Amino acid sequence: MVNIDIKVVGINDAISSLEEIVQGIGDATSLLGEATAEKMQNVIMKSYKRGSKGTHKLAKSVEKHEWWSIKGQIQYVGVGKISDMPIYWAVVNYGGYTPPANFGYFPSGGPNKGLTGKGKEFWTHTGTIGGGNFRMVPKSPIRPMNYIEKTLNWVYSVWSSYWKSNIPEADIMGTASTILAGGKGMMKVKEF
Amino acid sequence: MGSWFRRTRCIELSTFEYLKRVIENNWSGVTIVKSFTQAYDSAIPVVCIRLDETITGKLEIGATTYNSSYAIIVDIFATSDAQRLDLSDFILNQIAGTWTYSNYAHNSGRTDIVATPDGKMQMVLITEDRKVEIVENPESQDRFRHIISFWVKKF
Repeated sequence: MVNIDIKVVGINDAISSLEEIVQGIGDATSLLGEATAEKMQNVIMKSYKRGSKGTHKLAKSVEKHEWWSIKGQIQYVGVGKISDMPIYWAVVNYGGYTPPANFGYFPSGGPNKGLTGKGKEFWTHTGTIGGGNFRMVPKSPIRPMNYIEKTLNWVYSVWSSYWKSNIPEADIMGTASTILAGGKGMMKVKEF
Repeated sequence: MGSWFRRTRCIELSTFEYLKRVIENNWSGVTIVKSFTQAYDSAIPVVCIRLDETITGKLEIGATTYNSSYAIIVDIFATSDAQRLDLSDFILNQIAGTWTYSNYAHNSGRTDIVATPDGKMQMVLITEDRKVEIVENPESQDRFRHIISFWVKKF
């Protein structure tokens, strides 16, 4: 979660001007959300250990989602909706042992082949048994890909420069100060 | 003196050594490791401290030196939810201040690592501090996990 707090000083103008500012920030946040989703997909794709022949379900499931609070004051931009992502999203990110009911297959065959799954072979998780699928019991934990943390690092590092180049501070503060003369306000825009 | 370690390695080692020392001085029975797979070779509670990546930027346009931040990840593998919270809280408190940055090198016989203090380090941003839930019925090691990720800088 990244919060952007914008301090507005002074009140003396119509609230519609404030809405215009919020709209401008909203558009920029939305664009940044798209860039963040793309960045997370790239991090995942670059971190594949077993070649590029997999289904890429995880990377494909990372999309931008956008919604507003009921009163329309807070904009939320999220990347990756858990309900749309494969169940192994967490274990791939944080590392650890795979889910207990890990049914699926390796391209070269079933569980009786001694070398199945070694080297660069990728595992396809189906979630069902039979029809060539079997239960895979890993002997060692999955190493964390930390694609969430790497994306967060990227978001934080581009955040300030993005705002500086796309929404000139002088414009925001200048317009805002004509709106709210004599008082202090706080406007929040939330990302993630 | 043998070969010196580069900056990134020294950042990781300095942070690791600092947190290892303060945890061992205040907790008993906690194993501190530097690689993720080692965390599964030890009995819990385990704390894994590692450098995830370097965020590199130029100090200013035309500058020849970098203004880098280093993303550190602390994985906590606790025995209970209460211990998970206590350990994460403790670690967060410890990184609030500064700690010693050291240059590390092998000694001439390459039998040991020698640390030479060379400034201070500080946490500049906490990017994550949360419980980790991997699956519904996790293995014992994964049952009470927590992740803290933060950026550090050398001053």
